[in-house]
Amino acid sequence: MIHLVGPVVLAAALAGIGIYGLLARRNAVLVLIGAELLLNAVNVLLVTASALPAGGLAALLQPPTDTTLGADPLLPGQVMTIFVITIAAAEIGVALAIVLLLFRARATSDLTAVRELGEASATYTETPGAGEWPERVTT
Amino acid sequence: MRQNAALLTVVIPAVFAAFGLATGRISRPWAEQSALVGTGAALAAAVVELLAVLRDGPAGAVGFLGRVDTGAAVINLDLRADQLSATVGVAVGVVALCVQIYSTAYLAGEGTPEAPTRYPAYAATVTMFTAAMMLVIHADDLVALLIGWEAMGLASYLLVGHHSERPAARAAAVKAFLVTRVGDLGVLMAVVVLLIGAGTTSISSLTARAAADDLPGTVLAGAAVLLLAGVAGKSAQFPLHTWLPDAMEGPTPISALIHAATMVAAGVFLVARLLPLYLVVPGALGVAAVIAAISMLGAALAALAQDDLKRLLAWSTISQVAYMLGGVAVARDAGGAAPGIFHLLSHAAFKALLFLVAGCVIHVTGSTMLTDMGGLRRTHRWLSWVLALGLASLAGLPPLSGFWSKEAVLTAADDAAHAGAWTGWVVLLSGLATTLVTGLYAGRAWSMVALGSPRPAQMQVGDAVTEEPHETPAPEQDVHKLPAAMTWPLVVLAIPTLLLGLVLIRPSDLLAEMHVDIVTGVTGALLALAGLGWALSAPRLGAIDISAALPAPARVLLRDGYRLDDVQRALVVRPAMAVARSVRSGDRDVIDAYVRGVARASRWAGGVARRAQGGLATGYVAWAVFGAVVVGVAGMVIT
Repeated sequence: MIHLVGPVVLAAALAGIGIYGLLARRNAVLVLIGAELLLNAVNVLLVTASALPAGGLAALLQPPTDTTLGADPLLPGQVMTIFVITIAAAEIGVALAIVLLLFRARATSDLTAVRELGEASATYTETPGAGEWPERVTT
Repeated sequence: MRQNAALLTVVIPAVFAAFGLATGRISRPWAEQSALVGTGAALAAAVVELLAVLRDGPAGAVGFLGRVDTGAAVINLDLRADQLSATVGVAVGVVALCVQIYSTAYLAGEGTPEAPTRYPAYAATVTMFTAAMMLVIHADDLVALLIGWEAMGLASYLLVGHHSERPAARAAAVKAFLVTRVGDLGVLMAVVVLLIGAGTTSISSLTARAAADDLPGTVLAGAAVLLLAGVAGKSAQFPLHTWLPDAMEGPTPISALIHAATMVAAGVFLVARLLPLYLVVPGALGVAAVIAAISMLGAALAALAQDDLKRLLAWSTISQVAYMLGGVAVARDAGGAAPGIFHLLSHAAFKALLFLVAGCVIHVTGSTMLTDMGGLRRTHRWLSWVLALGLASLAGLPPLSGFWSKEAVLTAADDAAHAGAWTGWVVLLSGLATTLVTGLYAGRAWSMVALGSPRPAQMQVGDAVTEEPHETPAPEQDVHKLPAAMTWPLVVLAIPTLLLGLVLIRPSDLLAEMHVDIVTGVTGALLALAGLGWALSAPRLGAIDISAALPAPARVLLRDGYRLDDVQRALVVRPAMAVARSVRSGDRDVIDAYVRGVARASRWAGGVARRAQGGLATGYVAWAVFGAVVVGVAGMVIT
């Protein structure tokens, strides 16, 4: 058994880097990577938590009094991790498709350059598609 | 027989009114025929009813609209047939039929676009008016009576405002409606009081129980006084009389109908019908006597100063209806309503005659102003004699019907006075004074209309203020010719005007308790003669208008009806308008302010929320992260 600090610090680092990527990067692909880091931070935490004895953190600090309370044989933390990985795979497929289409349409993947859907944006229009759009990049 | 006849007097005109209204647009003859047949059949039914009632006695509880079980009380919407309803019904039928015949000529043609005659609607409304009055006089239940009562209010509103192109007619119609409505509220509340206090609104059971002294006194007193408000409103008695002179904006035959048969007679009729109730409450009869005395003399004096023929007749109606009310108010037993009812009948004859003659005179001269008239005796000798007949009956010259009925009222007041009732003195003194004034204004009217020289300038109307613009005769038309439909009703009405006094020889049970005292009769006749002679001698003395002898301010005051309109405006109309304005501002500035405030707040909130939608995907993610942090922190703090 390794110490609990290692995986938790790793998860915190991954989450911090992921949030930084989400909030600070302008490139859509790097924002996606930030999201993936965040998801994996969660995965690490889930796997770590599944290694805890029955009763969780509180059971670690005091000697086990109730020995009948065994670990959950269904390993919920690990099963949840599998779910997260699956959903993350689906999510990244859709997200990459969107980024690809964005790049095809706008010849850019810079998120700050595509703000037409925001009402407060300088380029907002009630009828999107009528003028204002750059020429469609044909592939 | 009696039951069916009573039912038919109400149903036939109602059906023909609906039929005339529905078919009138198709062709005018249909409207004319349904009007004439409707009122004629109502008259026939009333005559049959009268004969049957005289032979078989009264009949009550004629099923009409069924029974209404309100839970608190059962209301039988029934009719009844007795001498009172049958006699008044015949009078109503005669006058209504005469008015319908007269109207076919009076409202001939289609009129001009500015003043269409709208005959079908007019004739149907007159028939409906007749049906409503028949319902009032035949009703055996106050609720059924109230239905007819309100239908009459509607019909009078429609007919007074018939020429709705003119603002004055619209204003007069609204005024008539609102002023009578004030009184109608009294009737409605009386019905409620009787329902709660006595548990019934059936007239026959109420009168029977009142005669047997079986009703709580406070209930009776309250109901009697509340009903008096309705009587004052419908019968145009002080202080609710102000609508009647203004109602002259309606077509002249309508004035004949309202004044003679349908509208104003209903109030007096109601008191006569409920006389057993009133006998138990002498205070209410005292109030009625005072109202009658004030209206009688005040209206006669106001009539003296009028310079419009129709308004003069309107004021005389208020005065004459006050005679009827006074005659009923001095009653001392159940048969005591006879003088008032007799005056109602004779007044129906001569006032309808007078208004129809006035319509002919207006037709001839093209103006309603007395100063525009004159010399009728030379141009239309026959018409001037009919006018003289009506005015003499109004003034109470023997042996005309007006004399007998008026003297019967005064005799009844005299008897009551000598029996020690103060109401008798009030009615008697006011009545005698009014007889003199009535003679004066009747003589003045005749001298101004019939004597003197014709004023040919008035033949070219047009710029003059004409009462009926549509009937302005075309220049090439012979204005001196009156259609037969306008002259025959005069003949029909002249007969009872002349001969109704003969009823006194063999009176029916209804009128049995009435007699004319010799002394009172001679006094009244002399007073009327004095007034007439005074007024008729005026032209020979140089002044065509006897009222010119009055001081100018008094004359203006009388002409304007004592400025009671101004009082009414200050006391009722202005406060009502102020309340209406405050309600409007309360609605607009308080209630609506909340609604507008909600709209403004959501607009503001929308503007704020819109800022968040910047279009930058990173910004949205930042919100999501912020939310996650909040949820996480909250989770940690709460656990």
